[in-house]
Amino acid sequence: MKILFCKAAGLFGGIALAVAGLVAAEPAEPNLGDLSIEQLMNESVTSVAKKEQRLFDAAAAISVLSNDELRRSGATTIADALRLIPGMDVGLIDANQWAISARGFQGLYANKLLVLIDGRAVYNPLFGGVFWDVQQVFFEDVDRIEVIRGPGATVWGSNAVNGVINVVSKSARETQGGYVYGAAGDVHQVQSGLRYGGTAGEHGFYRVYADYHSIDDFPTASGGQGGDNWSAWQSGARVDHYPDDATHVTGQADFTRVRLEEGKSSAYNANALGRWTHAMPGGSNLEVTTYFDRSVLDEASRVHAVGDVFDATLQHTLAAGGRQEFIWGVGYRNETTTVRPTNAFIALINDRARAQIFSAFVQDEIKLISDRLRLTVGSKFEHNDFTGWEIQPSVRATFKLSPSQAVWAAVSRAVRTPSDFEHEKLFAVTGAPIFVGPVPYFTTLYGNPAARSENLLAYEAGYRAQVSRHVSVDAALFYNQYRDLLAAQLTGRLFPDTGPFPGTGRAEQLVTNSQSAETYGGEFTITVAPSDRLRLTVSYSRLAIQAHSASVLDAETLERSSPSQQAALRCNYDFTKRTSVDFDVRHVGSVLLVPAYTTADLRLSFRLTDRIEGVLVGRNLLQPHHPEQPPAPGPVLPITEVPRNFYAKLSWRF
Amino acid sequence: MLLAAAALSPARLPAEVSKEYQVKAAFLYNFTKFVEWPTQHFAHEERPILIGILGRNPFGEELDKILRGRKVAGRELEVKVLASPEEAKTVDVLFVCEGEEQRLAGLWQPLLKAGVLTVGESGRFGELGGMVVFLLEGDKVRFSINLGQAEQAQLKLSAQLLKLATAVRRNP
Repeated sequence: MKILFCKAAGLFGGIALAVAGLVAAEPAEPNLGDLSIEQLMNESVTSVAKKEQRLFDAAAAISVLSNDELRRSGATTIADALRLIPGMDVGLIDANQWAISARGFQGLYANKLLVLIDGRAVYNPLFGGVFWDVQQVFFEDVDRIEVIRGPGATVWGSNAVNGVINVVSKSARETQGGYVYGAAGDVHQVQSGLRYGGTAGEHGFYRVYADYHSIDDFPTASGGQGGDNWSAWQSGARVDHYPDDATHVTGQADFTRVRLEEGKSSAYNANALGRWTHAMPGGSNLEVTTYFDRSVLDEASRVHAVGDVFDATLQHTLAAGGRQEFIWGVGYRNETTTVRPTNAFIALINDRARAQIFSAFVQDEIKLISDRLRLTVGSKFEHNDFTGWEIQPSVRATFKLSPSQAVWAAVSRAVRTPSDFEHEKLFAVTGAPIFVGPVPYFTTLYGNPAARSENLLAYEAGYRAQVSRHVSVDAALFYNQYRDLLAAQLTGRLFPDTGPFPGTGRAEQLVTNSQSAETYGGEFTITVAPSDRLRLTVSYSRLAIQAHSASVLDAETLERSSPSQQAALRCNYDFTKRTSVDFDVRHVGSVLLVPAYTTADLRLSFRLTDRIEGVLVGRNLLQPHHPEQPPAPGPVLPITEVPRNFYAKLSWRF
Repeated sequence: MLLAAAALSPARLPAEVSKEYQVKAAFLYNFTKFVEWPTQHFAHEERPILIGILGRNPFGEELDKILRGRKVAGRELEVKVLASPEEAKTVDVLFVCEGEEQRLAGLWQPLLKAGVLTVGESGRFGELGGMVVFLLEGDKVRFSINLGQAEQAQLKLSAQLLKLATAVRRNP
């Protein structure tokens, strides 16, 4: 580890020297001051005032992390950045596996959260959930991360049950010029990347980027090494073309390759996306998006899986005369998965699964009582090959008590469709044995073609207030009813002499809709900005889960899957225009097998010039290491803990 | 589906300067090129043109960046974030952030006397007697002009600027 660190430091030093050598020749930066007043009249701006209003009015528990907040968090992955959002449950299982959910059901296969990167769903159809290690983004070029806690299925469809995360990149127009960074650390050993953006013709812009990260082993509780080190290479490009004032065409593609466990496992993701948006006279808007995504997992401990997704959507927004905004859309999605076991504990039954999904949605937003009441009514209608029709309606309302105070409430339905594994007879997973007399029968889990979708009926309410120019408050409450939750259940059927070892048998276990649950809780955030230079955010969230299952153990596993309370204090302070400090302290309640913990992060930033920034970051500072999540089910791996770690980063804009 | 996402959820007070304010900053710089102050307005040849900001500075460093190294009519330009509304009389262009209009109560006449070009971004600002009011049309920044007020302040606005304004009011 020491040697690697030295190498990393050497690389870092090299970049620093290169950067220092290049400072002297600063090319002129494109400056809006160079534009004539006529040209300025044609500059597009996204209306912040209107947007803030929109956020304030939104009848959902929404948080947004801006690019600035992202950078100031010191996080190095999207997954870690989500810790900033109150009510998000984020935990590392080991160096390369995250358990992320909102409002409960946290785990490696947390399958009730829909994550989109520039509109591309990165939800894995085979297992359900997100493989966060192959979902890297070039941080500097992220415009914002929008997080909705609670269902978003009316717009986004199935699997947007407990929340929706939208990672939105900047356009190529907004990322002109060069940016290079390098960082070295003790655990996050190397972070380096380069982006360059330029123009293509009179109305076109492009950018290309590449980055590389490597992360060392996390420690085990006893001080050993977890063997969970990993590295990720990523590169990609984006083109934005504006043929006329009303039309915007985007094309983007990324390739990510991840190497895990000393090369014993690997994964890659390749995707390409195209989007065309056109503003029509009268305020209506048409958008067509299509993408292809291939994810390949080659895991020593599970399977080799190739997942291909093709997706196309059309969406039309109609501003129907001031008081109403009507949106409708249609979509088609095709998912194919091919699997091959890589482990003796996985037995192949079928090597291929395919699903087609047809969908449509309508949503109408109506303003009433001199615009003080906003009512949003809509539904998604979806048809998939597994479970047939799924209807996911919602009703949302916001009432403005005053220009600076609003209350909102919502009732919505959302479903999670069974994953390929849960529904198709793809492969059987061998688990721990049960004993019938002296004979061990290994539990063997099969998918179930009769599995139905899990469904949620969610009741939510919230309050927002801009108390003064310096203080704002955001609170949300929820009560969720889950029915038909899928869980592994023993069928009672025993097959003697078929087990993995001589003289052992198998006990059949089937995925069935055998659980239900109720959850309730809330999130509260207060932001105080006494001056331009100081901003304090305090948040608290609470969650209770009541699970109903045939097995007491299963019910407890579900009830203790997510922390019952979390609290955080975040502080951003600018000493001067060029130096700033950010720190946070967070407390996360206990989950099954893992005690509660409190830790802190610190980031110092020095802007040496307008273009060069040096950053020092320390994370998880309050203890040498702490566990966050129990290990994933499967072959026993050492339980790893999250270590205190440091890195130094230098970036240069040119 | 990003559009629907945007409809549901857009950004809260971003610490980074939004494009809207980058563009407004560039407009402020441009306005100085199209305004002629009375001859006795500037105490001496070297005095820079001062752009004052009343309220929480929404431009960050953007305005400084635009003005750095530039000259208008031979004068340098400087930004001044005002500590109190009283200081408004000491600048040449005053930008009043939304929500700060009422803090100018009682100062409108002195501002006219001092020959300050007042620029705001709310309808309320226009009603109270502001000279230039920014507004958003779709995703473009536009402005309207109250020429009567400008004339009372002895400011000459160029025909080119008036032509670009979405509306020009002549009554004071």
